[in-house]
Amino acid sequence: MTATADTSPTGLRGRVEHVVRHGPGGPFRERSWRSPLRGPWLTSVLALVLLVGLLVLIVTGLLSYAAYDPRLGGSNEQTPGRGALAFFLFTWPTSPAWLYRVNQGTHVLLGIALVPVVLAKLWSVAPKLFEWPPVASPAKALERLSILLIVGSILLLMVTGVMNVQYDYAWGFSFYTGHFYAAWVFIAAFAAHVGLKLPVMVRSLRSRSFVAEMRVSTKDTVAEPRDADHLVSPDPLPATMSRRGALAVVGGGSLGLLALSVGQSVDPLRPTALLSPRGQSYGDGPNDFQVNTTFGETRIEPAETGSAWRLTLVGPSGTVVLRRDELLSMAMVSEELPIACVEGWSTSQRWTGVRLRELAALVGGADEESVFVESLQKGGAFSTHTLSGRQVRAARTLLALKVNGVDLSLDHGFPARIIVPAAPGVRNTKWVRTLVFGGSA
Amino acid sequence: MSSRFARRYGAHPGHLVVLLLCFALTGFTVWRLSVEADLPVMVRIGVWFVAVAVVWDLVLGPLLALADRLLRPLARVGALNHVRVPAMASALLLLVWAPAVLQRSEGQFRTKAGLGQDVFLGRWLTITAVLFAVSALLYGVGRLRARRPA
Repeated sequence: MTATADTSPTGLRGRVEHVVRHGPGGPFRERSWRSPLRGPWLTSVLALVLLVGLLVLIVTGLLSYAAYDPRLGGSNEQTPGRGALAFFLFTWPTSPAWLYRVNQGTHVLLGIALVPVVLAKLWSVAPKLFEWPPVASPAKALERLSILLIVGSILLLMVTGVMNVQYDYAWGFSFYTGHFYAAWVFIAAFAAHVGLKLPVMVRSLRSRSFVAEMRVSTKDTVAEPRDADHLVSPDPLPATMSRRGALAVVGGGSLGLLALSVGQSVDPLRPTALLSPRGQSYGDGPNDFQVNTTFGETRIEPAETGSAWRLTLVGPSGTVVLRRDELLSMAMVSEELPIACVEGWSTSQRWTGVRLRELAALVGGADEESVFVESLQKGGAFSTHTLSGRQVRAARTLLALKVNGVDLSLDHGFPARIIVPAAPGVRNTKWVRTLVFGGSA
Repeated sequence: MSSRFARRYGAHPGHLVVLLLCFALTGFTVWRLSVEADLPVMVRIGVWFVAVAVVWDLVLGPLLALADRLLRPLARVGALNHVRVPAMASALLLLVWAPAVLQRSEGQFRTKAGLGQDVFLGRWLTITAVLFAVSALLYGVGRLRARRPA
């Protein structure tokens, strides 16, 4: 840029007019986008995968939210502002016992596996970001705003999800808050995007046969015919990869991520989850399985878990205080039940203890609609928690004293912990000290 | 009537209805968030919301495109995809598992799970080495076959 051109009004005006008409150059020049693979067909293949996959993520995500029974308040309610966004809530069931394990394993594993598909989809439509003019009409302006919402929300969901399962809380807000509200922005923008683009996707998918396209070699790969949305390069380079190759790279990325993660949710495959934080083994003793809050983190004095420990039951007919040996002399039952974390990992173990409903009966609380569980934990978001009446009455809900035939370890909640079938792991309060039947936060 | 609307707006009325519903639900969501979150939290969520899109679209995306352009000369010896594919796979694994591989959350992981993160960098490097080795092997086999007359 020279000084004379800048100071001359006609030069400046001419320049501005040129930029307004033709764009500032660089990526704003359509001809700078040269991949021969970009085009409506490839974008639509990725879109179809995402349409199905993201619907599953939305459903499993909303179910996971319901699994906390947020209406019980306290630590069950991690997003108190939810209002009508939680219109779908229902009392979470207690069977089948694998319900939350499968729901959350699907949510997290599928979410991870869709990362390369989302990134490939963004790559495939990247020229649209630099479209010139940026807003050709009010319709375009609004649509671009909705695209910002869909891109920002899906990337935020991916980033918070992937970081949360690795204990990296660098955002300065609660995972629950960020993930829940971003999910609703995503649902809004995703629904609109599908509503507006579904016909284009169907038309583009029909423009060529998938099977035939999978037989085209790199040498024979040429750009799709120019399209109304300007995805296809006007000046494509020769292909260095076929569309089959590109889809194989994306699909291979998804399958690779899946293969390296599935072990966190399937006990016998655990050693294969090489990069997942929950792939690591604790050893092979009866208490050597995944921990999500160690005893050391709770600031409980070790003496509080010793002979001085008492379980206090409070109910309509009064209060009962029990020593651990008194609990052990009650009717013991054993149940094989999973612990399944919101982070997607899970593990199934054999727990032994007293049925929660029998403890409820001791204080006349068997028909109450909740039980408020207090832990010895000092502070911590889940040191108190509420279970529903349905969970209290479920035959398989235990106050567990042992696991795999031995006493619980301190890390797994000694002297006693809750085990509820089908519920998120964090609802299985450890180091229980008080059960208030009919109580809540 | 409808065609005059389409000329002014740039699309059919249904387009506007769909987008207004989208913005209405988004607005409702932001309002509900504001009921429970204070301003600093809302700002942080907003910043992350925009930052992730900007970082991908304007930083990581262009950098990856540039790296890909730098690899292009490899096409002349038929090695482009033999470098590009394992590099993409390795980068994808790092992108997803960066907090573990880079030991960003060692402290949290130690107190919550009772485990360390020191194994992950070695595992990621090993997987990367295996991916490149397999790719190089396939390249070598391909070259040998091409040289040998059929």
